[in-house]
Amino acid sequence: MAAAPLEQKYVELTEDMFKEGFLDDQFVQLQQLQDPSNPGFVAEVVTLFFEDSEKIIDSITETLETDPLDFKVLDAHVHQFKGSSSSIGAQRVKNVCISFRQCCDASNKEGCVNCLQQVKREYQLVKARLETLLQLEEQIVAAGGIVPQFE
Amino acid sequence: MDSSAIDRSSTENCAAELENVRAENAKLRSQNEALIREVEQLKLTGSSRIASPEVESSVEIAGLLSALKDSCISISYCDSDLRYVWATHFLESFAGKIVHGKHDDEIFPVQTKGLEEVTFLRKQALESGSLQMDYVQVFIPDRGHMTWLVIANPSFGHEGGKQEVPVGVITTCLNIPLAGDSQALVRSRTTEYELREAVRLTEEAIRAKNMFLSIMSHEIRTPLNGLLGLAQALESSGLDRDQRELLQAIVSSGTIIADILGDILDLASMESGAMKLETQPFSPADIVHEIAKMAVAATHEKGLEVLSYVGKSVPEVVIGDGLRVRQVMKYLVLNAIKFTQEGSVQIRLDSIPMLGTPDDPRFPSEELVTGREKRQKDQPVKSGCREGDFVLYCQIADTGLGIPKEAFATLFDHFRGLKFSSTINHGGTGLGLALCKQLVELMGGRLTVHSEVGKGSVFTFSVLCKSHDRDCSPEPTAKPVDNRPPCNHRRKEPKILLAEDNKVNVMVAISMLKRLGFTAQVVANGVEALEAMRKDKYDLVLLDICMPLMDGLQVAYAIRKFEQTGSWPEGIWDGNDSKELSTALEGFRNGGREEDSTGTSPRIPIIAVTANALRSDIERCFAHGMDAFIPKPVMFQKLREILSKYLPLPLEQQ
Repeated sequence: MAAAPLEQKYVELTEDMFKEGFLDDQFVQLQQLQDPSNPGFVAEVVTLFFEDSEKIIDSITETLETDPLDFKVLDAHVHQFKGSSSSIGAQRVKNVCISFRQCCDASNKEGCVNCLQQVKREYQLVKARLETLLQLEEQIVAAGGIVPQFE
Repeated sequence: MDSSAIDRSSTENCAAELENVRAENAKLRSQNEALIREVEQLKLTGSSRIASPEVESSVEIAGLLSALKDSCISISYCDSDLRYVWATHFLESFAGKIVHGKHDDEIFPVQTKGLEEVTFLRKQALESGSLQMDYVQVFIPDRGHMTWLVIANPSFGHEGGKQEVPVGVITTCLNIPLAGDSQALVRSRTTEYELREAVRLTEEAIRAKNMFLSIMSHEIRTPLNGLLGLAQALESSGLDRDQRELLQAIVSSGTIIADILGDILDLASMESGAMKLETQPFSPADIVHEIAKMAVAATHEKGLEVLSYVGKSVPEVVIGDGLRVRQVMKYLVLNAIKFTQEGSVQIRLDSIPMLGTPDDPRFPSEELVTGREKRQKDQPVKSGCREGDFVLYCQIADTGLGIPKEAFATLFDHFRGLKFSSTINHGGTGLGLALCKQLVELMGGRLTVHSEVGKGSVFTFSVLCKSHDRDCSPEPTAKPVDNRPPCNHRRKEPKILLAEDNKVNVMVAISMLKRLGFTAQVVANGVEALEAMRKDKYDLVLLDICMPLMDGLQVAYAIRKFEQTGSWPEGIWDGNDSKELSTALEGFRNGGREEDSTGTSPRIPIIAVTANALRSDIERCFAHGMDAFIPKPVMFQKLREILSKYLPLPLEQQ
């Protein structure tokens, strides 16, 4: 397949993600860190993010099921999730984490349960899109094209 | 026998007898005279007390008296009626006549003042039998006013079998020159004392001033850093274009203030002699290139040409204070740019191996600006350098406005700058040139300027550096080419410690640091961070504030404490929130200043990395000894900006 249409699709997909708030400026930072000396950087970080997030979500789920519920422990997990999502620019996930932390501060179990659902949903959404993006990247490179950069 | 014979023999006998008697008489007379003399001597010298075993013969006594008579002090002996028995010629010269057998009032002129006091002292001596001494203000006509030290010493004799009683008094008078010359002496001594006091007070005042400047600058710096940190945090929040522009202006002003504070602190620390120069390897050529690139960026709009030239003899690496050299060069270049509207700014770097003293004819001489080139008292220009030392010789030339001759005298003074109208718009504190000059002189060099109004200026400075140690292991395949050393270490790479527990954050941070040309050691919590610092020396620490076991604040506190005192705080290894932390914070904050840190280690830059950008959080960071903070998520530009303040950025990053 030719590189150009792939590149075009890449641009569109990324633009959409920005428009819909799935990604923010921080993602651009990651893209800018990718260069010939660091070619697979975005893929690497995003993959790590996936692994990390899945572990955290499991931990959060587990903690929510313990009785009595230790909000501090819960908050610590959410804090981690907020940090990593913020670092890669997964804006919507980050925002849910912020609300989630507020629920923890308020010791609001129901709120926390809701937030968990929300964060899982947002995570799945952004994950799907990012996976598509990464696939496109691979294809572009395989087709001899250049992955478009954003400013 | 007949009568005539008897008469004849009796006459002869009589004559002989008469002769005998006469002889005897003469003998007696002379013996008598001798006795009288002896008695006289005994009377004069008083009791056997004075007649010491050393003074045995009357001849010696006579000699002593004769000497006394001719001495320059007034000594006299009076009997118990205060009549003079004898006196030295000196006293007699005052009196102008022989004094023997007379009272004072019969000797001295009527207008003489002070005789009563002397008489009183003598009487006291006679009555009390003990030595009397006092100052007496004396006036003798034709001689003037004098101050005499009068000592009246009673002399004892026996009266029958009774106890010793004073039979006379020996008076010694010494002329004390308190008036006239002596007063001048006393005055000058007083003046000397006053001068010393004045010098001491002045030195104290200068010390106090420098301390004040240091403390105030620090006090201002801390909230200023907080302010700039908040501005940064604001930047990362959603802002529209107008807001962003306003924020830029705020940050820009804040940065200027921070720079000025930095200058003030530098000047104060230099004056107090506290500034220490680094001796680290650095690359002069790299500095020139960095600054040239910066100059290109700064002159973009003006369209000036920026030229740089590094002489072939400049070594790749030298040992000295690279940061300061950079500071001076940067300032001069920025200055040149400021005052140049068209044409060019040139940076030229050469080196000359030191073979002698700075006054060596081989040392490049420049026309010195006349003016008060006061050297730092404790930092004389180094002379007599060893072979293998270098002078780095840098010229910054511009085709700008030029400096009028009238301004030369005060050019390098603090707070003066240039006093003509076209500089009013250029701002600045005027500290810069003074600081540059002092820095350069501290590094053993000179800062001079040539200038012509309308044509431009050339600032030249020289600094002493040592040649780089060549003891690093050479690369195995290296072949020496054109005299370069086999090992080609460009610069000692700064060691960064990164304390961060989130894996994603770590990956991003490492990648950013790599882009900047740094590598970092990663630890996952505060305890590991301190362990790392105990084992190794780092040039900078990036600290995540929220970490498990021990948060970044505690780590920073512990590090500062170690720097200050050489020991780690108690209980810090347990990872507990030690109460020592809160109670000692105040004391720590006051003691943790760069300039007066008397700890065993230099202050390492600690940068807080945190998502919490509330003012209270930022203030806490600084209160715990952090130097700066980077908000999360970390942005590359921000990281670069902050790091460049504390570490030299590798060349590729310019």
